[in-house]
Amino acid sequence: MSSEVQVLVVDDDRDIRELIKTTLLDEGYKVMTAENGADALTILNRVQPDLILLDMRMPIMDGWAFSKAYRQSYPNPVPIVVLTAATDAAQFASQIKADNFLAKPFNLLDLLDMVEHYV
Amino acid sequence: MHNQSKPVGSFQRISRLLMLRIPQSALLRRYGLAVIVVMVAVGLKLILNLVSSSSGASTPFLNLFPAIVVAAWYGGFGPGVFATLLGAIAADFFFLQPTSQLGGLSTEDAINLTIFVLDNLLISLLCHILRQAVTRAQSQVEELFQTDQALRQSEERFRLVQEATPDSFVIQTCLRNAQGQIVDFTWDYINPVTEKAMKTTIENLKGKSVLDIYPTIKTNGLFDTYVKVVETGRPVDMELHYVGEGIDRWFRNVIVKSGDGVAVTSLNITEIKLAEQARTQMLEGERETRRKAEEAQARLGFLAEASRVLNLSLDYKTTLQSVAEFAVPTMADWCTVHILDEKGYPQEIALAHKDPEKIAWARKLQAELADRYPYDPDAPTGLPNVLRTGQPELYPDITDEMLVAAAQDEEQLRLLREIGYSSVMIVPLVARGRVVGALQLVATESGQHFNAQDLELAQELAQREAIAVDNARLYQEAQVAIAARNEFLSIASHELKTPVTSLRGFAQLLIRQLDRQKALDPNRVRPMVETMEKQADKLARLITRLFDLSKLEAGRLVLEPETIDLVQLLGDLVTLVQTTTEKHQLVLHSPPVLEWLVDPLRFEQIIINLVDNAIKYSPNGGLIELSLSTPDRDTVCLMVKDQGLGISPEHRANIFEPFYQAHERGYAGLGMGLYISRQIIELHGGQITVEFPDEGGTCFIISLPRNHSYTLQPITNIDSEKGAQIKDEFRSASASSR
Repeated sequence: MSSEVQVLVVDDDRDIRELIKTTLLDEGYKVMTAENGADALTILNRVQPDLILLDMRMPIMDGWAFSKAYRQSYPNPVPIVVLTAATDAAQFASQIKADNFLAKPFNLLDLLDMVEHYV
Repeated sequence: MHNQSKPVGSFQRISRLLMLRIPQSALLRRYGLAVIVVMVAVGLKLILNLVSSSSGASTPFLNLFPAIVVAAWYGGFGPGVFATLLGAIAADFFFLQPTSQLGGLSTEDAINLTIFVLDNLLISLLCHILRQAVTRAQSQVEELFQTDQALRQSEERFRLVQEATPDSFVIQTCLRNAQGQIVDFTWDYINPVTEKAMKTTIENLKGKSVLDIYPTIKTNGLFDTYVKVVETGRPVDMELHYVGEGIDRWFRNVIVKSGDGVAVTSLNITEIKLAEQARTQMLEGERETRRKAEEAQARLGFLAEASRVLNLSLDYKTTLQSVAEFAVPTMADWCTVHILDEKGYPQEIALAHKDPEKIAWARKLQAELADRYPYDPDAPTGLPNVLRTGQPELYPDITDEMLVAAAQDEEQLRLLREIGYSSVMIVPLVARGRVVGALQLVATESGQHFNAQDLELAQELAQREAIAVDNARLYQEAQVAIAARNEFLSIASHELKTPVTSLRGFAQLLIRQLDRQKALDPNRVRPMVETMEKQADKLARLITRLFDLSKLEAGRLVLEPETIDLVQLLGDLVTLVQTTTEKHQLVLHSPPVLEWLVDPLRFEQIIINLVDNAIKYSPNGGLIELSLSTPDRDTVCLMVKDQGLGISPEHRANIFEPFYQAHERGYAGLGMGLYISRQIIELHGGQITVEFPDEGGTCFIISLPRNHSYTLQPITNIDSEKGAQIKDEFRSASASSR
């Protein structure tokens, strides 16, 4: 694994952020986390990740708003994988033109496969 | 002939012989007779001359006179003249000198012969005339005789007919006053049938007054008819229902003029008439039955069509409009349907007018009336009354006086008159015993007047409409409930999946690390397992909350109160929650000890919910203050105040409603926390209110009374635990869909 690979995790649930971060760090990825869309945009000002793992329902700025703002500000967006517990995961993903989605509760191995696929 | 068989007397025989006559056409016989009688007369004279030759010469014409009379009598004038000439020739030849030759007569003989000829010509003529007179007289006598015979026969027949006929036959003669006016009739003749019927005889009746016996004929027109027949001479054939003098019968009377009176034949046609009436009634009845059947069929057809239209869609507004349009012009000129809204005010859902161009006009009039004269739900009549009492109103005939009486002022009267009411029906729409609206049918220009039958039809229609409205409402409510339920399930599933994601993820992570490293670093493992425990707790809490909700909705949430130190409980809680957040600072203001009777688990649940909300909706962190106080001896008050987002004014009224989420969907939660909290606080006899301080944030205030009597078994009428459980599930299913 290249230590160059950066993954941005955006989720309002602290424990889930922690889970994904720990898992990906174990696999040798670089991980940044954000509580909501607004946080994520702040981080993106400093660092360009290779992949964004995005929760949809978040306070302050949700997945839809973030995706819109991100695509407006960045002409060459990185792949986005939607992570959501909502039953309409696939629909949400297509709404924001995400590259893929994973429904919560996801299998950790699936998550790792997904990340590997897009980096 | 009746006298043919009688013996013929000698006089008659002679007279008949005398009266014989040779027909005028038998010329040979008539003239032959003349020749024969002359020859006989001459022969007899010649024989007489032989017997007394002396006397013969002096009476040369002796026998010839009778011969000529016979010839003229039987043969007529012609043969008489012929016999005269023959007799003259024979007398000249046989008896006048010189005999046995013609001519050569003496002057005296010639004169005698001439006188003879002239005498006999005269005799022939007289015989002829006499004979003709006798013949004429004879034939007249014969004729008279025959007439008499015919008359006798006719009388006989008449008598037979009158005796044998079942019809009544009477002859009555006019009784006139001094001015010649007919004032009465008298009995002249009644036939045996009539005698029998009147129980009298013509002998008794003859000459007596008809009106004395039958005064009714003066009133039922029969008397006038008699008079008319007498005066005009024209017969009348009429049917009459005679009621009077103990008679109640139908007669067919043929009245003809008879002398100065009338002859009346009466036939009793009562049975025929009754049969006819029965038949007519039967036909009438059949017609009526058929008319009713057809009407019923038309009504059913109408109602069936109405039902079909009503069932077309569950959008009752559209449906009622189509039914209203369908009801005009079949039932009325103008049709409106009002449905009561949530506030109990009628809203016009449908309006139809026979003349589509008048709809705008109708709306304008209605709007004008509604503007000026606000709806009065307590009005004694009309739509408000029907909606209030559920009783229909029918005004078969709306008069101008009624409008004047109903109008509040001239302007309203003008508008009411402009509508041009002729008849109105207002029928309530009743569904499941509740008035949901009203159907109004108005007749205007058609001039129709509604009757009880129309009202019945309108009620049938209204019943169907009410059911349609009710169905549609139930359907809409069900749709809303289903949508809310689906929404809730979707949120609940999201909320449940979030802790499961952590639990599963950390478990998998641990397994993965274990597989890789064969041994685990306790310092790494511990926070993971702690997180798992915390998430498992959260999951359990969510499930409890879902179950509480179901129990609350079923009214089966039972508190287990005990006296505890609220300060202790709140202190532990603040310490615990503080560990989950770094951004927020939790502070508790309280007296050192405060013991109160509460259900500790439920109370803790409420506070955790409030503090969780405070944290969740203060994403930027801040102070979260809990203040416990006793404003008076019997009340404890707890405030939970944050510096968070607050709640926008439009959402504030609804935050205690189930599944209501004041914030955007990004904030996790079921939207049932505050609802459950309020329910539990109310079970404690307390209340929860919310304030929004000017400096921002939210402040929830709970107050609990000291001496609340807790009912331990709120539901007592359930026999078995299982039954309760089933009901519980059923109720929670219906409740959560609300």
